Amino acid sequence: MPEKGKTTAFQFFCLVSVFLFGSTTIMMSLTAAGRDSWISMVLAGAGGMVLVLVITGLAVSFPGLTIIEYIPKIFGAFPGKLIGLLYLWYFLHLGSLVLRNYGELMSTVVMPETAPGVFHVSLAIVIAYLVYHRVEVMGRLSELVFPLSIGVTILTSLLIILSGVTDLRNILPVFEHGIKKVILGSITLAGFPYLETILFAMIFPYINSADKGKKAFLAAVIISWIALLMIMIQNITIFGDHIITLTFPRFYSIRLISIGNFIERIEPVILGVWIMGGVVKAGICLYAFGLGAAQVLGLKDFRSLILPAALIMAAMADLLFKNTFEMQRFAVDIYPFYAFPFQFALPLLMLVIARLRRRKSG
Amino acid sequence: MFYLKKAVVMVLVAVIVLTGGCGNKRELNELAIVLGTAVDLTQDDQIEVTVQIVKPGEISSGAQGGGGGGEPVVIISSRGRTVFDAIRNFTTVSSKKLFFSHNQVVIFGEDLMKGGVQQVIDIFERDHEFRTEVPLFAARGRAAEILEVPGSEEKISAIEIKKELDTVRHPGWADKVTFHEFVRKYDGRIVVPVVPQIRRVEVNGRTHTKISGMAVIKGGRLAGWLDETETRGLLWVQGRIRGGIIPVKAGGSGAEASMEVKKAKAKIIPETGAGLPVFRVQTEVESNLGEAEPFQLTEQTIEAMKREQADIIKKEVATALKKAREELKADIFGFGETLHRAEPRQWEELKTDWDEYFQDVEVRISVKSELRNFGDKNRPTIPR
Amino acid sequence: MKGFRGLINRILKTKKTKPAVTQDGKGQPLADNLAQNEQAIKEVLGDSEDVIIRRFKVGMGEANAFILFIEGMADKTFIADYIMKSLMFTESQAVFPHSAGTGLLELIKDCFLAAGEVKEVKDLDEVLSEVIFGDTAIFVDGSDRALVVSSKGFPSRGVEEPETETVVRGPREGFTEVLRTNTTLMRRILKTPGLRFEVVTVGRKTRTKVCLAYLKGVCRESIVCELRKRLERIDTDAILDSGYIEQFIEDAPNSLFATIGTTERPDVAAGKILEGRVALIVEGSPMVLTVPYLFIEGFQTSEDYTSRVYFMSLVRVLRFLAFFITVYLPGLYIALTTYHQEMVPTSLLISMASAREGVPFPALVEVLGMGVVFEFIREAGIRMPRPVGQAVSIVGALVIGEAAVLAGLVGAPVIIVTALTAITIFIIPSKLDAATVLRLGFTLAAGVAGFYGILLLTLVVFIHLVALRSFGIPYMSPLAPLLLHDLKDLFIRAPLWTLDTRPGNIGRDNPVRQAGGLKPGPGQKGRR
Repeated sequence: MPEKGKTTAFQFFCLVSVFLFGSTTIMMSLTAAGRDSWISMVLAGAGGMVLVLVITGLAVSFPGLTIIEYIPKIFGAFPGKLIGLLYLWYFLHLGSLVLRNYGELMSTVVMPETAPGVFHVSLAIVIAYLVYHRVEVMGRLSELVFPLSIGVTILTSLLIILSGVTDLRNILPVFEHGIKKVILGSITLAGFPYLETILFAMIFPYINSADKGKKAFLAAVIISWIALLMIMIQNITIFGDHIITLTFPRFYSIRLISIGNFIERIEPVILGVWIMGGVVKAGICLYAFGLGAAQVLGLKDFRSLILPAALIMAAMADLLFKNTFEMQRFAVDIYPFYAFPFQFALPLLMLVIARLRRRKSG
Repeated sequence: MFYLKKAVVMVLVAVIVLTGGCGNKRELNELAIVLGTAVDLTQDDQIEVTVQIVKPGEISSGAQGGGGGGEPVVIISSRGRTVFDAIRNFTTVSSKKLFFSHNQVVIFGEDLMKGGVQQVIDIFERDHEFRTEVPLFAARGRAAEILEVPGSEEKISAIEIKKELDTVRHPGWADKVTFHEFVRKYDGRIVVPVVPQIRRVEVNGRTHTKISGMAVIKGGRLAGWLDETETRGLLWVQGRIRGGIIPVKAGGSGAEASMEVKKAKAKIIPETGAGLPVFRVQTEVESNLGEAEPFQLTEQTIEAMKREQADIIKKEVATALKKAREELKADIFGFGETLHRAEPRQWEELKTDWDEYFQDVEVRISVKSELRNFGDKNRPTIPR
Repeated sequence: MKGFRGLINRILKTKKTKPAVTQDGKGQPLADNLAQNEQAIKEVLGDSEDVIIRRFKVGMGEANAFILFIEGMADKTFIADYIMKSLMFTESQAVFPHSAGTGLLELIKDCFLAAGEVKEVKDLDEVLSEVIFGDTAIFVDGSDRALVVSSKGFPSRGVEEPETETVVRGPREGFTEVLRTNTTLMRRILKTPGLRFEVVTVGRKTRTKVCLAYLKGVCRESIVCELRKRLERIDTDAILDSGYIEQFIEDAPNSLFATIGTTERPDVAAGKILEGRVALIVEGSPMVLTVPYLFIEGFQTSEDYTSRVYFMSLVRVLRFLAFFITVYLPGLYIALTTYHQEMVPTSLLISMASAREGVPFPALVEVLGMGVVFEFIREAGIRMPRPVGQAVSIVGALVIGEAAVLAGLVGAPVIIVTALTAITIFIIPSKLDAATVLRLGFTLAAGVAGFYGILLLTLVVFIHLVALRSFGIPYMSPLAPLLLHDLKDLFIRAPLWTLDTRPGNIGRDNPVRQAGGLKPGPGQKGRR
C-alpha cells in the first residue's frame, strides 16, 4: 500500500471544491455559446453529478481500491495495465495543462517579462513538496484554501456588483446563437472542469467513511457548480457577447473593481488565492499520477517518483503549446473530446461491467 | 539519497531565483508615473502620444522642506506608426521607463477621431499595464493641448480632469465613459458609443479645461458632437442622470422655480407588431424643490411644476433624438440593443440597415414626474 | 506540607529504581568500617571545600559516627537541631545496648531521628547523589548502611511575578527555579488526586529532575507514554534549562515553529493540564514546557479567559492581524514598490515615490538594512542592564530612524514599515523566533519575485504547518483538520459558559469540561 493515510469527508469535500474552482475560475467562459454559456454551465454541472455517481458506484463495487487498482480486475491483467498507463498519461497531462494555465496567466497579465517556464518549474516544486506529504496533508491544505477561495469569490462578486459594471440585461437575448452552440459549450464546460473529477477515483478509497465521502463528493460538486454558475453569469452581465474576445475574463472583470477610488487594483491578491487553488489542483493530478504509477509498478512508496514527475509536468507544460492562442484552441476544441474516454466513457463502461458481473454471480 | 534530493531542490530553486525573478523588477525611482495620456494624429498621419508624468519630488510636502515650487508634472510627446511604437519611442526623450498603470485619463484628439480610432484602441485593452476602467475623453482640437493646461485646484491636471468629470456627470452635461464601456459598445456595434467632450476655455484670463457634451463615435469615426442639452436628452433616455437643476415656470404667474433632480430612471420598451417596431421610452424622475420665487404652493402649482418638468425633459429628449436621427444617423440611445434583446429574430432582419430604420421608427416618450421634498419651507416668503 | 513531600518522594523513589542511564559510575557497596567509607567518599568527592564530614560519638557513648553533607546545599540549622542534637545528646545510655553496627543504625532511624524523611541506603553512589542534592548522610561504625536524611536547604529565589506573560487581570505568581516550589504551585491550583507528578532524571552531570505533570483521566495516556519514552532517550551531559529538554524531545527539530510550549505562569500551566496537556517542570528552570503545543496557542493568553468576551475576542483578532503584519509587511512593501506599483492607490504611490526620491539603495536593501538595525536595537535592549538598555534602545531608534531619513539614506515609509513590524511582533512574543525568520524569508522572496514569491513561500509554509504534528496532534488543528467545536476559542473567544468541552484532539478521552447550560442570568435555580 503506497498510501496509508486517511482523509476525512470534509477534507475530501474541500479537495473536490478547490479542484473544481482551481483553474476553472480564471479560464472559464471560453465557450462557443457566448452569452448563453451559463445554460451550458447548468447542463455541464448535471454531467458532473452523473460522473460522481459513477465513481462512487465503482467505489462500492471495489471498496478500498483506486481506479488504477480495479481496472485490471475488470479488463484483465494485461489490458488493465495498459489502460492504467493511459490513465497515468492523462493525469500527468492534465497536471501539466493546469501548470500551463497558470504560467500563461502570470506571464500574460502579471509579470510579462518573466519566462513562463520559471512559473512552471517553481509551481511544480511547491506541488511536489505538497504531494510529498501525501493525501492527509493535501486534505488539510485544502481545508485552509477552501474558505479562502470561497471568500474571495463572494467578496469579488460583491465588489464587482458594487462597482456598478454589471448589467443584467446583457444576458438577453437567450439562445441567439442557437441551441447547438449551447450544447457544444456544455461539452466544453463538462470536460473542463466537471468531468475532471475522475481523478478523485484515486483518492476516494482513502476517505475514512465512504458513505460520508459520497455525500461530500456530491455536495462539493453542487457547491462549485453554483459558485461557477454565479461567476459565469456575472461575467456575462459585465461583458455580454464581448466575453469571447477575452482570454481571462474573470481577471479582467476584477480589474474593473473600483469603489470610491479606494478599493481598486486588488487583482494580485485575488490572483494569489487562485494560484493556491491551482497548486491544490495540480497537486491532485500529481498525486494521482504518483500513486497510480506506484500501484502499476508495485512500489511500496510513491514519494521517490514525485519530484521527477513534477519536473516532467513542468517541462510538458512548457512544451505543450507554442502560445496562448494554441492553448485556448486546445482547451475549447480538442480537450473535451480527447479527455472524454478517460473522464466518462471508460468509467461508465467499467461500472456497467461490474454491475453485470455482480448480477451474474449474485 | 536524502541529501541528494535536497541538493537538487536547492539547485532548482537557486536557478529560478537567479534567472527568472528579476525580469519585472523596477524600483520606484526608475519609473515615470504617467497620469494622463493623449493620443493625436499628426499632419503626416503618424500617431502622436503625449503623456503627463508626475515629478514626485515636486509634489511632496514631506520633511525635506516642500516641493521647491517647480512644475509638478512634465509633459512629453512622441510619435510613431502605432501607439505602442510611439510609446517605445519615448525612450529617446525620457530617462525613466514610462509606467501607465496609474494613468487617470485617456484623451483622443479630434483629428484622430475623424481619421478613426480603430488603430489605437487595441493596446489599451491588450496591454496589461493599461487599466480599462480609465475614463475616456474626446478633445476638441488637439488632445495634447488639454494635458498642457495646468491644474488649478489640483497640482496634477490629469487628476483634476478626472475629478471634474465626476462633478460634471452629476447634472448630466457629460457622462463618464470608461474604456471598458467604450470598447464593449464598440465591439457590439449596436449601440453607438459616445465619449465626453473636453476643451480648453479661458475663464478670467486663465486657461481651464471644460467638460461638457459628448462626441459620437460611429463606426470608429467621429460622427459629430452633442451639446449639453442633447447630452442630457440622451442620458434621460438611458436613465443615467444623477442630479442637476431644472428651472421651471410655476404657478401660472411666470414665477421661476428650480427643481433639483434626485433620482431618475428610464426604460426603453420595444413594441413589435406588423411593421417597424415602436419604442416607448419611460422616464421616471423625482425632484425636490430647490428654490422658488414667491408664489403660493398649492396642488395646482405643484402639478404645474411637475408638468413643466416633464415637458422640459421631453423637449430635451426630442432634441437629442432629432440630432441623432437627422444629423448623426447614429443610434446612440440603444434602441437597437433593446430590440435585439427582446426580439432577436426581428432584429436579425433589421440589423444590417438599422441606421436607416432608426430614422423612421416611432419613439414615444413618457415622463413620470414627481416632486418629493420642499425643503425647510412650506411657503415662500412673499412681500406685502 | 511534610505529608505532601512524602507523597512526592514515594513517587520519586519508585522512579529512581529504574536503570538510570544518566548516572555516572557503577554501584559501589558501602563498607562496614567508618574509616573506609570516609576514604571512599573522599576519593569520589575529592577535596572540595564545601564537603563537610563531621565525626562524633552517638549519645555521649562510644559508638563512632559521622555525618556527611554539602555546605550551602543542606540546611545547617536543620542538621544541628534535628540530627546532631538528637544523636549526641541522647541521655538514656540503656537504649544503646550495642555500641555499634546496623542495630544502632536502625535504632537511630526508628527512635531518635526527628526528621521527616529518612531512608537506609547501602550504595555509596546513591548516598553521594543524595548528598550532592543537599541531603545529609549518617554513617555509624560497624554498619554497611547509611541513613540519608532529607535536609535540602539551598538558597533560592522566592515566588515572584513573572517577567514575561504579565497580565493586568489574573494571578501574579510565577514559577521559580526550584522544582519543589513549582510542583507546589501547581498542586495548590489543582487540588485533585488525579494530578500526577512523575519524575525522570536527565543529564549525566547535572542529574536534572524533569517532572511530568498531568491529570490522570483527562490526559491521553499515549501522550504521557510518548513523552516518557522521549525523555528517557536523552543521554547527554547537562540539562541547564527546560530549553535543552525542548530541543531533545520536539517533533520537528528542523521546523521554524516551536512544537512545545513554554510558560512561566502556574495558572497557564494548570489551564493546559486541565485541557489534557502534559506540563514538564524542569529543575532549575522557571520556564515550564507544555505538550502538545499547537499553532494557535501562541495567540492565546491567560487573560483572554479572565477578561470580558467582546474585548478579548477583538484582541484575538488583533493578534492574528499583528502576526500577519509582522511577517508580511516588509515583503509586501517591497512587492508593492518594486513589482506591483499598479496596486498602490495613485496618491499614495506618488507620495511613496517622493519619499524614495534620492534614496541611493534598492528597496530590498533599504528594508533589510532597517530590519537588521531594528534587530540590533532589540538584542542590545535585552542584553544590556535594564536601565541602560532602555535608554540605549530609545536613543538608538530615534537617532538612527530620524537621522537616516534626514540624511536621505532611507525613505520614511521604510521606517514606518520597520516600526510596525517591530511593534506587532511584541504582541505575540511566543512567535517571535518563527516570525523573525519568516519575515526575512518573505522579504527576500518578495525581492526576488514580488507577490508571486510571497505566495509560493506562503504555500510552502502552509504545507509545512499542516504537515506538522506535536505529540501526535496536528499542529494546525482546529483549523486543519477542522474541528467546528473548537472554533469557539480560535479567532474569537466565546464566553466561558459555552466552552463545555476540552479541545477536541487533546481532550478526546474526557471531553466534557463542565455541565451545559451554565449561562448565568437572574432567576435561575441552583444546581443542587
